[in-house]
Amino acid sequence: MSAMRRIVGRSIAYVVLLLIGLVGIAPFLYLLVLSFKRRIDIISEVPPTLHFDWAAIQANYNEIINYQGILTSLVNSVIVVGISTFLALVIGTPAAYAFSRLQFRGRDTWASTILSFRFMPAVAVAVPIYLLMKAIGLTDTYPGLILPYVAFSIPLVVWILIGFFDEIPTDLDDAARVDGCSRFQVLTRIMLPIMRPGLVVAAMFGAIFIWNEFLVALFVINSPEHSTITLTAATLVSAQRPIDWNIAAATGVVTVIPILLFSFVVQKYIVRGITSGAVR
Amino acid sequence: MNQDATPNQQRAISDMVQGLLEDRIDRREFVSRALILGLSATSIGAILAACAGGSSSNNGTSGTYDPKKYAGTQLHILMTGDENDHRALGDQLSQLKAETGIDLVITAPSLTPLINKTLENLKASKSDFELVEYLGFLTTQQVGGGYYEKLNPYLNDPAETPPDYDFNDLIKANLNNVGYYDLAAKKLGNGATDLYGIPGLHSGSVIYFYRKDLFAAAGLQPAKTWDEFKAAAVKLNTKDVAGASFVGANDFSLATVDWYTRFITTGGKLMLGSPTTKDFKPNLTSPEAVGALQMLVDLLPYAPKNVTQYGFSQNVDGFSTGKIAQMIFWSTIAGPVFNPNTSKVADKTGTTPVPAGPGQKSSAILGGWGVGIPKNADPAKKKAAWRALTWITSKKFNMYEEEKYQIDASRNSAFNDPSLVSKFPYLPNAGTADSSAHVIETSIIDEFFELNAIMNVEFNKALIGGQSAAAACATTQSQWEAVLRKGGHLA
Amino acid sequence: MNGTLIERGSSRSSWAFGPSGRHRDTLLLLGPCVAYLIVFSVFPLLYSLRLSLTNLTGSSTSGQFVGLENYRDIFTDPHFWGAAGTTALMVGSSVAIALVLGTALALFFGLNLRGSSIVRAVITVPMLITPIVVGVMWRALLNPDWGIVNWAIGRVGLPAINWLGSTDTALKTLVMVDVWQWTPFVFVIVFARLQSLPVEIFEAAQVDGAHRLAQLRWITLPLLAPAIALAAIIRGIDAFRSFDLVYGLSYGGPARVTTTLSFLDYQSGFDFQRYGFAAAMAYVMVVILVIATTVLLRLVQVRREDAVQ
Repeated sequence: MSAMRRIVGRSIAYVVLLLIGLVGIAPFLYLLVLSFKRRIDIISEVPPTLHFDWAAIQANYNEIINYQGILTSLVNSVIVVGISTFLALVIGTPAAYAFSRLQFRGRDTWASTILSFRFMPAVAVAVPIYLLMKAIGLTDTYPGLILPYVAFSIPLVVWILIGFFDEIPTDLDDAARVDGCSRFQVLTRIMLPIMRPGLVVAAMFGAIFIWNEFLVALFVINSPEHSTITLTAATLVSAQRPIDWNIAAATGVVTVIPILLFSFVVQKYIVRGITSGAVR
Repeated sequence: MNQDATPNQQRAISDMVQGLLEDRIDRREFVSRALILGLSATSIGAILAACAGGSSSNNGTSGTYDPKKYAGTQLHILMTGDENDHRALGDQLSQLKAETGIDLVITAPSLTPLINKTLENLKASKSDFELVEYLGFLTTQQVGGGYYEKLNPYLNDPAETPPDYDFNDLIKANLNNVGYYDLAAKKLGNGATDLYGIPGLHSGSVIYFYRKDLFAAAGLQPAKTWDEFKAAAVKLNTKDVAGASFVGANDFSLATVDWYTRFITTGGKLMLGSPTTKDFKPNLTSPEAVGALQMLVDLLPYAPKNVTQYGFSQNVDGFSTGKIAQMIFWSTIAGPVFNPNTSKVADKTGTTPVPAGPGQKSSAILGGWGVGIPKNADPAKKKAAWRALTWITSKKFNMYEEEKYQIDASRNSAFNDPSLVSKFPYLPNAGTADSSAHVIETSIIDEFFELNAIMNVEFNKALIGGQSAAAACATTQSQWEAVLRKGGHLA
Repeated sequence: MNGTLIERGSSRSSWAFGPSGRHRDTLLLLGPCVAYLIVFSVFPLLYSLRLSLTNLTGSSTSGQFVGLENYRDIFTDPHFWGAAGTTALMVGSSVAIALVLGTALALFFGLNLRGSSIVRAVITVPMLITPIVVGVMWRALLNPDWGIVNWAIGRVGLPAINWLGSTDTALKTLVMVDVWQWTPFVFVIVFARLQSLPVEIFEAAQVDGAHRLAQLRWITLPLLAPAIALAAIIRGIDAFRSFDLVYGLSYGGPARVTTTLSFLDYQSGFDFQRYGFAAAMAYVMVVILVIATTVLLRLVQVRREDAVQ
């Protein structure tokens, strides 16, 4: 009897899984279909037919790849976000460790202060950052974006990592220090390997917010060669011109595919199997 | 030179002088041509004397125009990325390089980012850009703020301005909208002689679009008055085709196109007084103001079902798919609407100037842009910037953008060129509309966009049924007054 | 805060020696982080503070000092209070719904069914996409004339919904898209935490004969509480700050029903070039956030002490 219930339960679970998957992927499939069509067809076919014209597909993708340079923007975004996130981790991980393990006066206040740097709305921060970069002479360069982006990522990275560090019992630290490790060595030799899921999550979230960052990039970047993906995508929407739905859809597809791949890769790192056994 | 010579004559004469200096024509030919043109003997003699000894080795003479004088310079232009201007320019960059040797790098964000980036650059100690395209509505803010280089010296220097530039071909209305400004009197255009920008890359006003086939089938003529407009809307409204459409969404063009056109063509006057005398008072509770909005409300039953969400994009889409019988709109949409690849009614569309109330002139808002050289640009590059500027606003480029992208040019020649007109029959209408268009009064103060935003929110609310037209005008009036007081334009 | 620095300074003499190297450790671990943030975060904050005390607008190079006038204007502006209410409503609902859905998803994927890693990758995508693309995509989906959603609804026999066009539904639509985009965020945080919990706890509970639901209530959820709380705080802060979605979907309309504080701030600064005013509004928003997070953190602290360890 209970075997039957388990089978039914399992089946329902799989159906739910499938439904979730479909709901998740549906909007992107729609986007894919739209990216294969001419604009005039998108606004007159309801629902869109699955009749595709190779010339239209070519035209759309050619436009965004060759004319709007979307691949360049993607590469730029990946470089800028990758380096910024890496640096944020390098600077933020030790800080998070300190907040988790060390006792000092005003610890919680400092932690809150660091998080509070995220509070400022982008509107107020964009111009002063731009002026700072201009003063240093870094407008329209990668470092001009990387430097502020690291600052934007650090608070989030630190906060997420504090949470993960807190879950690791201090016995581990004590054991290692008894063996003669300094704090720093405890961090690098013992904690980091265990912290992989935490680091991945922190990196992921640190990256997301600067991947989507718009205002600072707008002011700092001038040339199309250094344009990020948000800047290129921003040209899709304007009040003075009809939205080119087919181009927007193609842009969406080209940006989503690498993201989807990235997402697949990242999933591995947050599952059990990597982490269990470490706390023995 | 003979001061009474017409622009054509002057041009011909300067061509001839050029030819003489470059040894293309000899002195005898020069004399005979000059006589035909009507030059006096004294003038001819003077010119010949000045050119004596002048042969083709004239590189050092300040009076000669050398196209490649600034070859090797790299310039940066900040311009709008919303309207295909940057595409037209991008297409022609290699041509620019070939003819002048100048390398132009284009940065083209969309409108709001452009405005903010421009302001940051203009206020900085040094601008990253040697050329900036600015919206006509912002001329007072940017040019009036003293941020742009005075162009008269460049224009009047024959060594710097191409001989065939033909400054007078530029449409006067546009020059007065974006180019001429009196910094001392804080006045835009109309009498000012200091030039700070050249109209480009596009201008534009509003025209009337209608379905020739539907009108013909119903025995109707395109509307000349608003009453005719309404009557046509009622008659042509069917399940599949809306009798008329307009911008009903909370969108920039609701206030500036559909409301403003109806307002001024029924005798409305938007503002009384002036900011300098601190009595700049809006006139939104007048019968014309409420009436113009009410016209839109009354059109709702004959407009597309979702018209209150229709902005720029949706109206163009709706018209192009044949679902709208008539509407007034920016002439820039003529391009997509008349293009068989993007429109199902390309061959069925006609245009005329916008309707007007009885006894009123047909007129609409003047749009368009200007290009200038920031005062804080690299001084060593300013002359090169002027060279590029003349190229970008030249006849040839105007024709190109008109032909390839149907961008509304800024020169009479582009609107009236026979080959273009035969391809794009709407051009003369667009040209007339541009020449007779009206500079919107609120564009002379900083708060222009804010006032516009307020009007769009409130008028859209009236259209979705959240308040009456009178109430919408009343609340807009009081909100405007508050903003004007805050800005120090109203006591 | 100053006290801590002075304290650390005074123990410098004992750096070379063993156990008091703790202060050295603190400096080494924390120092770079704090220094970096001071340069890149404090300067903008101070700049904006100064700006908020001026009346700088578009065409002027520098504004005049006007003291607290901007702040006074903000609090007497009815649009500000309207936007505040809209923001509270929007942030509250999005975060709450995302928390529930995200946690449910995390628990569901904790079952580790075959093929779930693929589905997990798919549902994580929304939060990684550029907001403008999200906005355009949903505008296409919900387009009243040709969008597929209304068509599908029509096929099922229901009346078409005026998603972004009606004052009743616009805000709900905004919340819906926000939830769609950011539920993955909550999901990933909670799921990662779930995955890092030692299996032994669950095994022990099962041995004790605990019922599934009881297990959930008394063991799993309390253990996940810190992760859920973290997700809530971060999500709350970002929802409060972000204007991208409003910008891309509804532009604050219709009739201002989707105008949030952050959008109003963006509009004042960027569309109307009222830079001084916008800076002041940004500071008001910061103060609101500080108060809100302090209160929330207190709550979380309390809960943490109560949680079963």
